[in-house]
Amino acid sequence: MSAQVHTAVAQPEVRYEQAEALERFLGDPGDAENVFSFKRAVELDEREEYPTEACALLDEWNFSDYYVPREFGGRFESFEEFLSLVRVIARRDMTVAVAHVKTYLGAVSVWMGGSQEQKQHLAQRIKRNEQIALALTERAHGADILSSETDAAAIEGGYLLNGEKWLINNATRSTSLTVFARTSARANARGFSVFLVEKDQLDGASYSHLPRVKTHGIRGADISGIRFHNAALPASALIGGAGLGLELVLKGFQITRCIVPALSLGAADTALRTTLSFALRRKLYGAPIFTIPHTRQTLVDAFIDLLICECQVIAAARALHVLPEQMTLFSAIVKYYVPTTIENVLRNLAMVLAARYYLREVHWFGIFQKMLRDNAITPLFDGSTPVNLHTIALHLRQQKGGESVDLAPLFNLHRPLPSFAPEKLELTNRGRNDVLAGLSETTDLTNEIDELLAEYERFRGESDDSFEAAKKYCVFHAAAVCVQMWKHNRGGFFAKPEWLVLVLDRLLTTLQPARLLQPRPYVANAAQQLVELFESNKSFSIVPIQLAQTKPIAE
Amino acid sequence: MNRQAIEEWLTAKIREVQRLDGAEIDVRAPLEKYGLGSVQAVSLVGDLEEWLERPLPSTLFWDYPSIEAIANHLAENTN
Repeated sequence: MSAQVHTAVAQPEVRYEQAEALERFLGDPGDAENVFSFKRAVELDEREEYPTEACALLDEWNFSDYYVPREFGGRFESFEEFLSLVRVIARRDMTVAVAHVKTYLGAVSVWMGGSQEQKQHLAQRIKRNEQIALALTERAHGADILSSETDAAAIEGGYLLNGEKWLINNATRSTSLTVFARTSARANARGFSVFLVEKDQLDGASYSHLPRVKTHGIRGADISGIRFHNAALPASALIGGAGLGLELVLKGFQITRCIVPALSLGAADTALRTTLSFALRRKLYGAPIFTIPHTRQTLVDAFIDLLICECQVIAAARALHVLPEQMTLFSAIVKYYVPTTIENVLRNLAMVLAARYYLREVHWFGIFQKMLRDNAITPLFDGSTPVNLHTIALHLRQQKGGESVDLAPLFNLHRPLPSFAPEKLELTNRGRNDVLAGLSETTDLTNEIDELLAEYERFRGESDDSFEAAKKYCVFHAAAVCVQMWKHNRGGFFAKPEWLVLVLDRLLTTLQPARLLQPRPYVANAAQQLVELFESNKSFSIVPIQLAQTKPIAE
Repeated sequence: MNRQAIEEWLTAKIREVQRLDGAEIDVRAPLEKYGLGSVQAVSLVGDLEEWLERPLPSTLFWDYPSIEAIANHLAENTN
């Protein structure tokens, strides 16, 4: 990690150019006069007010075009690019990201299972900046979606929809919703279907919105519900076919479980930036607190954790294109690992920020405490932590390793991605994990990787299918992802293995808390890299993009 | 593979996975009766594929939701 280098692993090619363009368009979030500023985000949160202006700014940039595949007139090309854009929004205000990006989650069932007509039709709505919601959960049933009571009874020429969906993001503001409803007498895996319900096609008396629910974080978001009473749907509202509901929802989750962690990455970037800014300027006992070894170590650890998490998100986004048949497992891992790790990162940073983390104003307008509350949603929605650990535990029962495949198309960030083919998603990995299988073929950094492999062998010999084993498995997977990311991208920032050694130290220490470490000389280099990214207004990233922020934020 | 062999394999597999040592398994009962949820049922497809050495759709256990139904379907559609 040489001091003077901060070129990207991949020169931010096409896939990261748009994130920089969006940064320039949205402007400096530290400038209190800007619509999409930290100050405005905190003010709206205090008033629990929907971020109308920031959403309008995204509409002006035609962000909604990224929710629509190119063949239907949109600009969506890859999840790697899409998530780089989501991070730009989330680093400013997660409420806006949750409010706006929800439309992709609402639409995903149609992109996967809809007819050409449905896709064309929905694309037009989205390109008009209409919001689309996903109406899945119910008050009494939560994650137990096969107990859903909302019912779509077949009638002449269509369906009659009855029931209530609750804790639905944008239930009230959306013009259309994809609704998960029972279509069979038997509430089994083939007993449910998904419908595209368009409010302007319903009799106004056949649906009503439920009041907005007050939340811990993302306090301006429209988290509400909708109730249907004999809402008449045309036969054409059915997506994919009767009985395909669970399959569509589970496959859709394989996508959205990769999107949610990008929200956490955005929050983590701002949390680290605001804390670092404080640590560099705050003088205690005659020197900036950044010079206190423990403080500096905490900030470097947060930086390394952020890089680990970013590797997971980029790899998962690319895997949707390259290894779609293994996404059951990969999406569960990234969704479990990243939000929970970032929760810890934020808590560790709070210790450096000390009293200022607790203030809803003063340092950077109080954005840190908002990010801390906002990020708390990420382990919950679109498959909570226990749901994901369950999926990973099921994999452990039958893990067979994986096959020796060329992982360059997945990890080499210079490689173009094939088009996303949702029909290739499966509902099980069949015991395979090609990423972890590739670990044993790595010939560099033999000390650290041998230690990791030895741990992994011990784990395989002892592990059961408990949640604790599932959590450990995620650490091995996370390590394998970082190793591959390093192996396949040796330019610039990645030229030296120092960052990877620090990554493996972090991960191995998770597995063996008693592991004694000599302080690594690399920590100073990583700290320098961190400060350089901060001072040049670049994202804390393996693919650092130029951020819009131009001037220091006064306290 | 004949129907009976498949039924026996599935019965043993469900006993093993659900830790139902020695329990009576009714081959006609819906799989949920033995606590086999929809997501978990899908994960058994991989084991069954490996044993039969043929690819199967991951939704097999959803479309044929009892041991007997799966065995009948697979025995009828064998090469």
